[in-house]
Amino acid sequence: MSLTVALNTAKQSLSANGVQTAIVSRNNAGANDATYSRKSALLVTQPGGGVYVASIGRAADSAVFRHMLGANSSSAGQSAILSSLEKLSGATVDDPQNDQSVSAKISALLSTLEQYSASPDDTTLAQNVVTKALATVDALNSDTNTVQEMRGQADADMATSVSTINTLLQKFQEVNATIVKGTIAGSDITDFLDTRDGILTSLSEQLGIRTANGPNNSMSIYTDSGVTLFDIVPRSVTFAATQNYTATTTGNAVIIDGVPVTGANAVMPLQSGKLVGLSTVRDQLATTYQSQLDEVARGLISIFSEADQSASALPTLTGLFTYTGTTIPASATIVPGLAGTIKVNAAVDPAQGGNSMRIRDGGINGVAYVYNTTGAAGFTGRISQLVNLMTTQSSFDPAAGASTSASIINFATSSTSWLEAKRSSASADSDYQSTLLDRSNQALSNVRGVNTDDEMAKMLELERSYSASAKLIATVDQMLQSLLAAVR
Amino acid sequence: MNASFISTMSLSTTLRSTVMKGQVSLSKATTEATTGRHADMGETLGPLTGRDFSLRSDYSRVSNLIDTNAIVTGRLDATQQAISNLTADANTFMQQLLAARGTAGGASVILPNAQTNMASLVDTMNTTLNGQYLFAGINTAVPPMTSYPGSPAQTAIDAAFAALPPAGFGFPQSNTASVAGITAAQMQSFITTQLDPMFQLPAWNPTWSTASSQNTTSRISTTQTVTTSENANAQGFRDLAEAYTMVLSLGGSALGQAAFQTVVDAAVGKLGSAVYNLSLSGGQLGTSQQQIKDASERMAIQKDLYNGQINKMEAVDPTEASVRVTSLQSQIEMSLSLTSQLHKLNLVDFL
Repeated sequence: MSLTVALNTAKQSLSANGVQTAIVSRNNAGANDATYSRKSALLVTQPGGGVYVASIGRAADSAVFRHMLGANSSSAGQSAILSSLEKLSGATVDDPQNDQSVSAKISALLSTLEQYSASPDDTTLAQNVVTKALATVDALNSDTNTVQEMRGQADADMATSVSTINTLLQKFQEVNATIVKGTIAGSDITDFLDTRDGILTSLSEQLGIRTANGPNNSMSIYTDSGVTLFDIVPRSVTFAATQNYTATTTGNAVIIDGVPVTGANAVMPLQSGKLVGLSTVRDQLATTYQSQLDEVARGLISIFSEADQSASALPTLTGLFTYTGTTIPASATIVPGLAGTIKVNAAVDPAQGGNSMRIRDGGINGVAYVYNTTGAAGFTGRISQLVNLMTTQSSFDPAAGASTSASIINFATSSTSWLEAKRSSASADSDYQSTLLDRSNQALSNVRGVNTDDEMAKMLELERSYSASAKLIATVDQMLQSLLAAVR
Repeated sequence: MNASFISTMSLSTTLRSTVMKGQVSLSKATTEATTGRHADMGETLGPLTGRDFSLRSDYSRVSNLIDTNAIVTGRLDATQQAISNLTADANTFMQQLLAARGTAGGASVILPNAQTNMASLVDTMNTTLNGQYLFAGINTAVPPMTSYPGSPAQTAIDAAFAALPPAGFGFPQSNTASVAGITAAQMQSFITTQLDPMFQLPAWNPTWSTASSQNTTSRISTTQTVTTSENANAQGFRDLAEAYTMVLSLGGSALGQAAFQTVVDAAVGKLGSAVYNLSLSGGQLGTSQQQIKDASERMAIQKDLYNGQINKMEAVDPTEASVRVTSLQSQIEMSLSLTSQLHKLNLVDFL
């Protein structure tokens, strides 16, 4: 009965057509979803005529996808570094013409000292030196606060990132299980595969990942350093946040599956991702900048220190600039947090009951430290000495990453150079990474995305094929009717 | 088909990101065109930012030094003026002394002149500028000399005069009868052995002057320091004081002609030495003045150089920036119109 076969084939064609139309509709719905991948029906011809939809495929390219994941990690890490550096530079350096930086404050202090040396009996000028010293101390203290707040913020962001990773891994487990079950059952799992890719994309923003495919479309995730992040079950990602940061605080490491992956003691350190960017800011950039501020503070304290003038072998003590102690810190050695505790000596600051003329005369630490023994009002010996010391080269700790031998002002400007050089290169890197990410996303979108015009054209084809099948059925029906009429 | 396939989403995002990047650049270019400086100094200069800061610091230091040099120059000008006034006084007095030497009663003629000159010397030594005593060395808060009548200096000289022979004469200056009997030889010996040592250092301090022998020094450039004062202990001032004292306190008009002439001769000698030494002091200060002038001129050139370098680092060509604004504007406009054109290109609209 070939007429029945024709009818059956037309019927099958109609149902296949229905499935394909549904797919066109799905594709249209997902046209603006970045994680959606284009679906297509795999038609199989049956022996003896007729077609059916064997399975639903999805457009994908794992190489392009992997490339996009890598670009996503690098871009997220770089932008975390850049935004921190921008904040740091804005708060501590700003535009050179605003004279907000520590180096500008020290330079103003030197200028007022020179002015004071021209009229050493002028109380107003002495007071002016104290004012500039207070401004310098204020800049150092507030810069220290900014740096430590930034470290605290990075730490908090790391905690958020870790909890995001854990949530994503939980979701990943569910989706992965569904995919495995679906694959075994032979049902349509394409939407779940999209969801899984979406989770991987989100995950790659937090840390660099690699994936490996297992049986039944299952997948395992490893960090880019090789630590297992997910294999059948999610591995624990832990991080103990630190609330308050000071210059001496060391932040905790992120631990994945028992292996530390950030910080100096990382066994398998992460290579990219937001976590890497944040820990770089917290453990390297911010601490180095803090060391530079500390060295500036130490330099100021030692320049303005007072030596014994009474020949009784008394120790050299802190002068105009002091801190919690009164001894002079060892030269060229970072004292962590000194920039946060440096202050103007109360014995010099009139607001705290001191005498600003001690800048000219000495004697901040008592009679034995008086330089101006005759009490002459025009004594410039001490001020000249201070001016000379401020312009003389001295040694700074190489660990601070700025100049190792420079005058105090040049050391402070070299610190500014260090920061701006980092920011400038981070900005260029970030631009490059985000362009790379844009390109990867575009390439990926072109591989798996939906073109609505294309779908519309497909729809037209389906419409035609549908009417043709319908026409066939109607014609076969007519033929059968004529046949039955002839029989009757 | 894959080779030429493009998804609807990537089509629209491409244009969107072009517009966004264009807008970021536009905001930068607008700032640069209006301010004439880089929009983000640190990012543009990068590792050179420190150099910019150094230049700014040098610039403000040099401008400051030029200002303080003006103050120091003012002080030196006042000092020079005072010294030249004293020199003129000394020269006039010398002529008056020589005129009075041979005249009977010449002593009483020159006595008032000596008093005036002495007062003017003390006044000059106590000159202040902005509250600083110019001739006090570094002891600028204390007037270096006190008015001669009744001063410790006069007391000391009177005591030496009245001291028993052989040191002094054994009677006060008021004993005119005895004073008239002093011989020229006695007077010469008194001047050499008693009077001269009182005008030598360190006997001069503090009887005559409380000034510090240490002169003030000033930083006139980032590296140079020069002496910028003369103190009341200088040889010239001591000689002047001694010459006036001889006329005022060694018996004056009561002296016999021979003794008076000895006093006048000694005083003229001291005045000559004073004029010579004052010119030495003036010369030294003149050198300092010249050095300051040179330093200020040099620093003015430096200041311009620094300013030029800062400008070179920070400035943006405003024309270039405004051209950039225009071209970015047209680029963005083009992207926007393309976006709307592309949105019109939709198969649905043609079915």
